[in-house]
Amino acid sequence: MTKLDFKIKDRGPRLRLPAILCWILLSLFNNAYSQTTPITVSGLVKDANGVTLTGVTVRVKNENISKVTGEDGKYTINVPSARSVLVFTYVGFIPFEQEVGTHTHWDISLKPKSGDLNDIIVVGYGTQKKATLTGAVEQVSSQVFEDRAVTNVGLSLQGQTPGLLVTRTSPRPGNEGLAFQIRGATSVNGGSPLIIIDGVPALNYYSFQNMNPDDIESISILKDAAASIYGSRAANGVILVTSKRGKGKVKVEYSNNIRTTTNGITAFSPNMQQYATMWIEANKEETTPNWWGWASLANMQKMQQGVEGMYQTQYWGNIYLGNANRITEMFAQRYSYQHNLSISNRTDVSGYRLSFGYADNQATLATAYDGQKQYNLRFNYDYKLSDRIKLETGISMVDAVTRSPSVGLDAAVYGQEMPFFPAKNPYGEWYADYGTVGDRQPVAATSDGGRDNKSDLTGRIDLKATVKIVKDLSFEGMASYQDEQYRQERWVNLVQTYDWFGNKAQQTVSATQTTLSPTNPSDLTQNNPGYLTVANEFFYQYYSGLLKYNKTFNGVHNFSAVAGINAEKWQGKYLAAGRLNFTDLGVQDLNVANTTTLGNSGGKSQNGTYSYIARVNYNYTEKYLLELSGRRDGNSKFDIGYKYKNFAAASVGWVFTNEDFLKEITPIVSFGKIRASYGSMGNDVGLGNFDYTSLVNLGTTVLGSPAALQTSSSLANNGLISHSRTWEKVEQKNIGIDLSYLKSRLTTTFDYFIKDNVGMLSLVAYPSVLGGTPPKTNSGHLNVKGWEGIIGWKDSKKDFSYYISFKISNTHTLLKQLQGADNYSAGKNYDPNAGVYGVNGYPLKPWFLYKTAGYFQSQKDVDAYYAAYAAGGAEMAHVPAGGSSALRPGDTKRVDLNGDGVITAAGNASSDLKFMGDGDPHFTFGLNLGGSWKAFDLGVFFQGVGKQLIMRNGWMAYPFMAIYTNQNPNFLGKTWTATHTNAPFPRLTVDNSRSAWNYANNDFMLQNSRYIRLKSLILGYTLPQSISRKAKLNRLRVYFSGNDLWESSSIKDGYDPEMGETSQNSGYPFYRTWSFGLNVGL
Amino acid sequence: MNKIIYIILVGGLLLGASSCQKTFLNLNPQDTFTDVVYFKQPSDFKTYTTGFYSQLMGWNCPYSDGIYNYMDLASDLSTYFSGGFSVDEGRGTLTIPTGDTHWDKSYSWIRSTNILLSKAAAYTGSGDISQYVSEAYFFRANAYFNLLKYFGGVPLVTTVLDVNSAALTGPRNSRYEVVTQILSDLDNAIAHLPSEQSIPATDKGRISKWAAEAFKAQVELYEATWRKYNSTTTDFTGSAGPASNQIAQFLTDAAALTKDVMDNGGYALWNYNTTPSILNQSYIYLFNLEDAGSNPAGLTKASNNEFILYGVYDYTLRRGGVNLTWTSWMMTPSRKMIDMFLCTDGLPPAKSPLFQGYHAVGDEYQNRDLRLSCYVNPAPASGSVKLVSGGAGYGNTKFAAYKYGTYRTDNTESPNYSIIRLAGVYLMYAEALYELNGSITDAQLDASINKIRDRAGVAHLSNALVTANGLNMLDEIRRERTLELYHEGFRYDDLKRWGIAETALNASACGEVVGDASYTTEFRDATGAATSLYTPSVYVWGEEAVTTAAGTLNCIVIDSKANHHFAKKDYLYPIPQGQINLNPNLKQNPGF
Repeated sequence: MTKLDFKIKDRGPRLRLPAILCWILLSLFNNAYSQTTPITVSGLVKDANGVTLTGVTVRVKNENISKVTGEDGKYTINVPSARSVLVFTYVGFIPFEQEVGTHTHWDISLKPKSGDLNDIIVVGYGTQKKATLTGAVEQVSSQVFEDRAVTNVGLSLQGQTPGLLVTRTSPRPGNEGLAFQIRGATSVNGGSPLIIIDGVPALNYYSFQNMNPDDIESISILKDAAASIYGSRAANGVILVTSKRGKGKVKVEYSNNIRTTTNGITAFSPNMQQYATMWIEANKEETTPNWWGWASLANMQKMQQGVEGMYQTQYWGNIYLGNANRITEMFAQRYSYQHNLSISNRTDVSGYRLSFGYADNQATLATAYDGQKQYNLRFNYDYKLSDRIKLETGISMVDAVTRSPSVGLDAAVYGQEMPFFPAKNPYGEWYADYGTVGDRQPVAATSDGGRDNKSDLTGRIDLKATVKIVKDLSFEGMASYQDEQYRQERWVNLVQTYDWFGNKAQQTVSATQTTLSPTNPSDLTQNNPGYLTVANEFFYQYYSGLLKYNKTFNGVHNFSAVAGINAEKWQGKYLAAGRLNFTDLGVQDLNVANTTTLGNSGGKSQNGTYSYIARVNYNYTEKYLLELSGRRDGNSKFDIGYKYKNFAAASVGWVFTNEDFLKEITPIVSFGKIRASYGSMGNDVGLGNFDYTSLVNLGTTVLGSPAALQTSSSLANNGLISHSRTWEKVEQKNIGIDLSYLKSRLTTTFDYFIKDNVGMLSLVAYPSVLGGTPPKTNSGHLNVKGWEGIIGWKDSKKDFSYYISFKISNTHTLLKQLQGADNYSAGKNYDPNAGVYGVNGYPLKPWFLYKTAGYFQSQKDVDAYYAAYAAGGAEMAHVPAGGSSALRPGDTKRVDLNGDGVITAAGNASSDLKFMGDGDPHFTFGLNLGGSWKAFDLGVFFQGVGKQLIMRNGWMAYPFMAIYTNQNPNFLGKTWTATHTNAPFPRLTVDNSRSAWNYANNDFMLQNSRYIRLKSLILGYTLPQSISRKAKLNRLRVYFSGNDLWESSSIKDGYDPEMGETSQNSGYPFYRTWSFGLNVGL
Repeated sequence: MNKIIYIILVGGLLLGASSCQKTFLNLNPQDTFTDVVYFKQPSDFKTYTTGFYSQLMGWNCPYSDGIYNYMDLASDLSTYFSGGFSVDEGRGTLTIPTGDTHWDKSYSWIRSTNILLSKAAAYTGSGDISQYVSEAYFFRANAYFNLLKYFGGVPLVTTVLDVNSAALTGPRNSRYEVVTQILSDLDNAIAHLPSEQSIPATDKGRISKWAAEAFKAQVELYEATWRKYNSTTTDFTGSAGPASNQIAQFLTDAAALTKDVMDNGGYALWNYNTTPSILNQSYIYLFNLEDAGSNPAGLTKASNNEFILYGVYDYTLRRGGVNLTWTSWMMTPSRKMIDMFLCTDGLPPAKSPLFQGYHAVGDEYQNRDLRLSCYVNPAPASGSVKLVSGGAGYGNTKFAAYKYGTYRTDNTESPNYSIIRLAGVYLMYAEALYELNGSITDAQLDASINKIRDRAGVAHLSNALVTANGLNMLDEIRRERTLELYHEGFRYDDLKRWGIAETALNASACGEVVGDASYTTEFRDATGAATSLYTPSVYVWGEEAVTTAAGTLNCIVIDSKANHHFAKKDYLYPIPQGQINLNPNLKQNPGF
């Protein structure tokens, strides 16, 4: 609690009890002071961790007296009187201000800024004080990234701010499948938040995700009309990243982190015994048992007992089966590292910060390296040329090198991989799946099947000059150049496998399609054996000129304005070359691949924008707040005459706690503000660079004798173009309230918003005689409503301080108009690849499923069902009476919802499908807990989703989707049997038609992927300065940091809740990370 | 003073910036042409028409379903119902679909040809583009002929439409108007297309004048016989009738066109029957002809001068991409097909003394048309045919690769795909003459069909043979067409234009003759009991007594007539409902 230490004993031995009492009285009734003699005050300024701070300004309020703390953090200042007020200010810390009183020796401990209403928040084209902000803007500080056992900035943001949803589908560094979404979907056409780093749009997501977390000062999330200033790219929200710049005395900081992993959830993976048990259970009451290639019940019973040895199979002869757990064969503990080093300094005229980062993040793959190495360099430098002119530069480089196996990490890992083909035969050779015929074998494929190496190097230079033209008016000119060099080299080798006796297997691992388009080498991203190399370059230029004006009139009218122009140009160049057939003889390059079949492709593209920006902020005594902003956006993607479109926003705020008539509530509600905003913004997805002109596509056709390639051409879209289509226009309304109670110890924020995408790009169906599909037009409408809330508490007592904050948000989408989206089919009606985005009148990703009424309990039950529903065919046609797929007791009873005597899935009104919710995550939350006690600090962060309806898809969607899949052991003991008639799942069957009837798209298969996960746990200990000083260190801290250490979820079938719905490619388990790290300040 | 300088400086910067906005906004594509700069020289037109060649039927089927739907697989000649291909068409169980790839793709191709024709009209260059304009006419005719075959009359679009064109919601044109348009386009094409002889080797595969003539003959024969045998029964409600009776004119023209191709095209049947290594096996190696490894004689595609209109495929550059050999093996023929093959004396087996009956499985292969052993399989040894798993008992080898598994594996087979070949032209010539005149001379037969029968090892067809043996000349001409063009995608259209589809398609598709106690085979012994080579229970449709070459005998049924409901309405496909919804002026075909 105490911001200042009373060092009573320093006051000298003569101080006696009466004097102390007197002082206490005086401090309670400070009016009693009358002393006016000058005093010299001296002391030490430290941060909350006890580290001395250099360069802290110590100023006497309303006097022209100021001093700066020295290298040892000490200051001495002469103040006019005991009534004088000293103000301690330091960048990044809450200013401390108090009357001198009786202090002559005064040690100050400054607290870092965090989430305080007085914070300065970075907003579009400037900064604002949080107290007077009228938009929905959330800022997270650098603390979010400190000491995390992850390098990826995006992952660190997961759950940290309400309204920003960060999802991943894989734990593999560099291949996480990260997606960002602010306030839910904006369009069926997709779109993701605009990333701005230091005022300039980032060229790519890489240069954001792979930023050195240690370089980030703060991140602001603009969620509502506050983003409108970014015009055509604002609709999905804006993420503003500000990098650290030099401050204080020369400071050298080093931190590192060493990590190891353990497998997380692996319960989806069966062993040999479980696999066999599934088969035996499923065949128990099958009229004609089907053992597939496993031939007999006897075989299965041996497998059920885990007997390893030769088995006589139906199709593959005598083959060896043994316990082979792919999870343990393929995934093991791996180590990762991260090192950061920075040097920073600031003087009156210049400041710099130079930092280096290196990280090597490895996933758990045991058979080969699967991970990402990351190199970061940043040099921020600024220099005051004169009182009027200030120059700032920023130079950064991000290099991310991701290296993985090229094949073997798909369905081969698990979905189609039974757990009893050991990786190697007794001769140490790769053992073939099915003993001899399989063309999959994930251990062999990932070990020897080739590599996929990608490197992404982004370099960036920012130049900024700020010129003070007159008092209150300044000009800011900026230029930024960003260049990305992307390289990929991918090769696939065929891997020979062997039978148990060392004979060559019939097939090699990896498919052996041998085609390569001469103009499209990316064919080689299939499992074709060959070598592909890709080199793409992207170059981005940004220029802006802004006039900024700030003035307060009559002390009450606070006025500020920004106006200017910005222009951008993006250019991309592509080059790819491939050769079919490659044998790895130790040298891997295109040059040494087979030259028989070659392919190459190239291309370049460009687009540009030119925009006028203006914003005006006005407030009356920080009580009535108003902001107006507008942007006129021009874009090269539109034809002359159609290039520009306007976007505008307005927001108002009322700080009611500043009203005199509400003064009584301020002891409880110390700050209260109501905000409302309206803004229009654009979404630029789904637009091609040249949709307004008819492009000629070139291809090849084979003609001639002997056959040869001839160039052929066609018009893109068969010549159909659009002049009038433009950005999707999203209108967003937001209302919010910020409150802080009890001297800001308790803070709450709540926002409610409505987004309407009224010009959503939508395909319009024309009669086919038109001869082509015209570009989408702005004819759709998506509505999104949602809310966000934050509640936080922080307090401290003596050596102990703690905080807790909870953030939660929810969104609800409603597809109002999309041509062609009126019918639905069974399942989740969302497959953008197939042009299915949802159903009008329902949320996006709507689930339409069969309602079921339990399971048939008797044959009589079954007969009655056939009598009632079989005549109409439809879905019942898949399980005809008398056939091998006929329904039996224990199978699912689907309900004829519309009562027409037929079980149908087609269309809408005529079907028996029922809407059962949507597939979007709801009630996404984050919970931060933490505190410090003496030299110890603790941070605990939970993240989760309150509700998300999912249904598993892929090979492992349900038992026996096909007989040749692996089997999920989580269904064992949970299916209907004659003695377990109230089981949660229907009877098992090896018949895939009956299995589909029993499981696929039935209501009970919909599960809530609700989870809470311990995303990070950080426990640190800072060595007392008395010790670290001896080592000539300013600061020394050691910490433990864990990631994904614990979770609880309502998933029923054993998968990780973050994995998503697919079971197809899910063999790669998510893992837990355990790390130790060190922070050293020199 | 300083302030003023700054203001001027900043103001100047802003002004300067706003004047350079074109640098950012007026950008052009850098890696592709726009149609503004394209179509300025003949090579642009050539390149664009080269793109049309993907519209030709081929192993890479240009529609979004597979090529096997275009091989008559569920027709009366086939027992490949298990594959599912074209089953609805064969059984008459078509229902109105929401969309139809034939409709959509055809109009997309028509648009692409209309684009070229409109660009050609605006062409002011000096180089000759007439060949490419002709190709565009050909491909437009091809697309409309496909539409005609599927749907009858369809809306005619001969300009490049935009989204506001009134034509989008226009009514269907009659089939007669569509045919007139096709023939007019083909006349335009024929006028300026080069002869095959003048097409350089590097351009082989492009449309020649002869190909367009043969195609026009096909359209005319198709339409003439359709009108002759179906009259206006398949026309939609409200369709205009024919402007005049053009049947004789079409047939005359078809005969003249085919004659021109036969006389001047320079084509020849691919007949290597006397080459020792492939003795009498021309009918095997014509349809899987690739490079020298594709047959024991080392012949290559260069030896083939029979294909007139075809798709060019190549193992390296353009693979078939369908599992051709494997699938071909399963595309087994029906009892009806097997019994259609003549004996070497030119007589049907029912009438020929050379026919050996069905007692042993190899018997019926004796003294028969070479195509039986080449298209189906060589005579099997006794005991080698087992009726235990539901199969018909016959093989199928047409299109299957030589040395499958080593020379060619799955999906790599890449023979050229024949659309019209000389044998087909001979057959059209004979049929057109007979349909026109009600007779055909021996000389005309010798100039056409008998060249095919020479290759098939069958005695010549002559008026004397027909008369002496109570045959019907038209039936014999049709038989020859059926046998020769088996699995080449003509059967459904032929049955429909001849007006006999209901009869032909509503019979059971049968396999081997199994006989009974009175006619023993390898499958039923003298007691009438099934032998070990035959498991009757796997044949869910049992046996049926059908007319065979040895009288009415029991045969196994692969697909029962109970499944077949082919009716007049099935002569045309239904108009997709989605198109009717978008354009209510489209009238549905009768019966749907």
